[in-house]
Amino acid sequence: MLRREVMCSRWLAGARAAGPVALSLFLALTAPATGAEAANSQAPASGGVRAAAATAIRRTRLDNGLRIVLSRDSAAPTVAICLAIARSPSIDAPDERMHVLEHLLLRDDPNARALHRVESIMAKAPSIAVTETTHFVTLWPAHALALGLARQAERLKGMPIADSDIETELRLIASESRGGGPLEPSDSGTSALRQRLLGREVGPSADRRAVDAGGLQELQRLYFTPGRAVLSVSGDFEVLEALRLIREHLGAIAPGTAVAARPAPPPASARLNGATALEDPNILGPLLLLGWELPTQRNTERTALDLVAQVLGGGETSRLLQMLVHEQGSARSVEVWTENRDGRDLLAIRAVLQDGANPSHVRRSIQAQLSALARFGPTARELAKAKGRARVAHLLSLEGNLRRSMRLAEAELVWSDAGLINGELDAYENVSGIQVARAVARHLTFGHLKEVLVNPRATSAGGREARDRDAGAALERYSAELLGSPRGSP
Amino acid sequence: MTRHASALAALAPGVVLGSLLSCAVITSSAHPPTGRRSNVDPATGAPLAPPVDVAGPKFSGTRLDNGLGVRVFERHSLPLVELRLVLRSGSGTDRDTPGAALLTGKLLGEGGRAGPDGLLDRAEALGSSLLVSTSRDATVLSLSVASQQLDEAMAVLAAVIARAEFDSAMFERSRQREVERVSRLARTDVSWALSMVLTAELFRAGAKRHPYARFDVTARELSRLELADCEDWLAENSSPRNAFVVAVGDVEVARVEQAAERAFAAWSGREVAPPIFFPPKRPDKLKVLLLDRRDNPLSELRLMLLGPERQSSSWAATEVAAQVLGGGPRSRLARSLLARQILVHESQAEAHALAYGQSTLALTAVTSAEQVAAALPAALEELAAALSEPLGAEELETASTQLSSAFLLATDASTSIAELGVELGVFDLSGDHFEAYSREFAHADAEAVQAAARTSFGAVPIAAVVGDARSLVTPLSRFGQVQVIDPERNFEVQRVVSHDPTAPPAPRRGPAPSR
Repeated sequence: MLRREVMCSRWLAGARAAGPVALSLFLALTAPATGAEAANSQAPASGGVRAAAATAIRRTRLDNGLRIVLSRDSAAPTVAICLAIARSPSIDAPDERMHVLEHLLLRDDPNARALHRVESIMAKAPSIAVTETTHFVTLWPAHALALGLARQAERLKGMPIADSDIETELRLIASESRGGGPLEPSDSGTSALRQRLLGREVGPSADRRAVDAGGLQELQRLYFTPGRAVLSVSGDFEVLEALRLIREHLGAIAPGTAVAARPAPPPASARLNGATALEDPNILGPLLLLGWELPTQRNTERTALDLVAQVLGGGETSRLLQMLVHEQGSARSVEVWTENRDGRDLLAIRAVLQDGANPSHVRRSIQAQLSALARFGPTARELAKAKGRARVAHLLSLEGNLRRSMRLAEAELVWSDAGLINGELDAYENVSGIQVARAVARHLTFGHLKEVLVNPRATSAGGREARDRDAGAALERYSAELLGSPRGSP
Repeated sequence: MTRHASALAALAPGVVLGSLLSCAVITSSAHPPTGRRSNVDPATGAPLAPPVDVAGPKFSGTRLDNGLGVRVFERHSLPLVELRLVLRSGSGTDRDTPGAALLTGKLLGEGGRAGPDGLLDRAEALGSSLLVSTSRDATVLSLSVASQQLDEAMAVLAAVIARAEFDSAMFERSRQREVERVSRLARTDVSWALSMVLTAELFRAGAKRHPYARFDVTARELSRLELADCEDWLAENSSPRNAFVVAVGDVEVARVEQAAERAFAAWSGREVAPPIFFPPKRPDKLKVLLLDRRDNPLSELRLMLLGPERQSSSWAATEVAAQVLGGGPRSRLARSLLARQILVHESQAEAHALAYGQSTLALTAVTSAEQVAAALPAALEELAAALSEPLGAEELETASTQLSSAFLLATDASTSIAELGVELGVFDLSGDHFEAYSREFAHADAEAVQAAARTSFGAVPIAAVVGDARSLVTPLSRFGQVQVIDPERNFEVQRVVSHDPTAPPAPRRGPAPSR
């Protein structure tokens, strides 16, 4: 899966001592795909890669419903622990409340400063990544597995929330919509495109009136529960010992109440039409964003659309970069990606235009390329290159324990079986040029297109005030956490 | 090289984990050092964070007949290999054509003039993107490929470095991108601007310009550059005797050596003499560089000094000393600021090694624009205290744990290990250097760290501050001469205010943390 992720990181809280546990488990072993199983006569060159890339995975489920995915790799004395929680809006609460809650779960927990301190010293800065799931992921030295599990357990146990905490987090969330932080440039337009295509967006629309401490605690109680979560552990550990520690730290957490599914929001195309125009003081030149909603099923057509993104924007020699950047000189840069977000998929094109470039001309050029792709398909060279890039991207997504823990957690949560990850390379290899052409013709049409144009402009007084407030929030939060560390000691 | 900086960044709060890399192969399991603490404090039952005692990765190495070095680290988790082709020349070898190394790197990254059917297409057909980065000491070409593509990837790298030709259209396009990049940085990135002015000041050497005096290039310097400058730079610095290959991943040493031999055998060249890297003159009194930014709610303060050479036996101890002083929220600097009711958004220590001569050491604190003037004396006092106050056992252990853990975690993915291989070659370190290096953090000796602190942090630093010059120039002049600089006008000095110890201090403003 080729996609962008929205990430934010915060310092975390500590942990209370783990409660007693002893719930039985059942162990399901997902055998890695063998070379023979993965072999495919259509793509002999990559058969060896597929066999060697197969990842050994163990899956199990605690009695409280928490799904466990273990991937042991002793190449490095590290261990990554990812706690992933389903957050699809079609079944969940409104995004803004969920986002605030995610932020709060990363901050310092006044009840458990000791473990917070250890984590801040030993572990790689914890972060959350939001795609169709929420990931809380940390990387620890291997011998600190128990500490890392204890910390993740805190997130499923719940923590006290005060209204004053919410105010600060809302301001920080607002700053994310303008970029990664108060001093960082924005990722302008992408949120607006997602909003147009998918009907909702995380963060910037957070409404203070909709968020209160009681509501968040209720949300925490209902949604951050073992039954809706996956714990993925990758790294250097003994499997039986890891399972024992997982049971000890997470097995006794109450399973929580089942939440009834909400109806899915209507398709975005039924609500919004025409282009959206925005302004942004943080960009050099105009941005043109085009997007299409994609099918969410994990099938050949969806895989073909991942390859379309590579044909169009994968590298300097891709179609759109060659045409818009190198030949026409109408764009400074072009990015193309697919992503699965909140249970709905999209393909997006983001072009940073040269000064004076006509956005309509650029859009027409892109549409002409799509028409050609729909009619003739990619060349054999283009398709091979796209598959090669997808193959390397897949391998890189599993390279190292931190990435692997996230990837496996997401696969378990979204596909209900992390072992399916071992079929990804085959899925790419089996796509034909004709299938690519059909997928483009069916989905990347003018009728389904959503468009956002962002123009540069000077910073307004209101914008400066908002930025000042965000910076103040960041300062207060960070300093408060520092002051929370034991006085007189580092 | 900035490897260590990134390792520290991994521990810093507020840093977006945009690059979710992971694990490395280390040669032994991770355990607390013998005689250190257990995982739990026996008095309180609270968990503790002991230093991590592991040996870092060991590279094998050889040299081909044409002089090209080859460094390999085998890691067989996935069928991937990280390849680096490194020229031991970077922007420090620009001489009178600043930006030449940088733009040459960009042109190499486009694979030369062959265009879509040429080298770049071959590179991208491997499933990878050819990336080129330029530091002051090196130009690094990078590919991440499936290990079965090792031979083709090596051939692509060899062709790029030995056969690349540039044309004016490529040059203008790359130059425009770089002008936009540095213009954007000058407008938006105060940390970059601080590095620009501090580096220039620290390596100021009278009429003679020091090769390391440029942290990055300016838009004005780029506008003066010509295509011929890049071609000349490449001709002068591209030689197998000035280069080495790093391979990390699912490949055997012998296979890498054979692939390198096949790909690079035809590449020849002479020894490349670096420019003369003379020792810069140490400042004898404090100077404050004030970057005039009027609408930033956050401000940054940085002190910079010269440190030991990367090859020095006191290098690791100096890194520990820097960490104690300014590395992270538990450092002396952060605690000192908070004790003065100055809010801190971030505090960092960075030891930046250079290939020819002394390193640079930097302590940074991000605070509010209103409180930055008050932060300067606090930072200066902490430097002075480094000379007189004995090192506490707990602060030593905290720094030791932070650095040993950061090394382990930051060398966690093949990409990170490849960067270590680059570091070995650039600094002429032995293949087993990191085996002992990481353990030096875990077993940091208080006396050695204290001695390193006295040696490196006892000198007069250069200070730089970002903020509104109208309100800051007077209070800052209490501590030394103040130069007001505008980063958006090619870092021109707008105004100089003399040192005046009697100038009024900054008014105390800004709320204390709410809890």
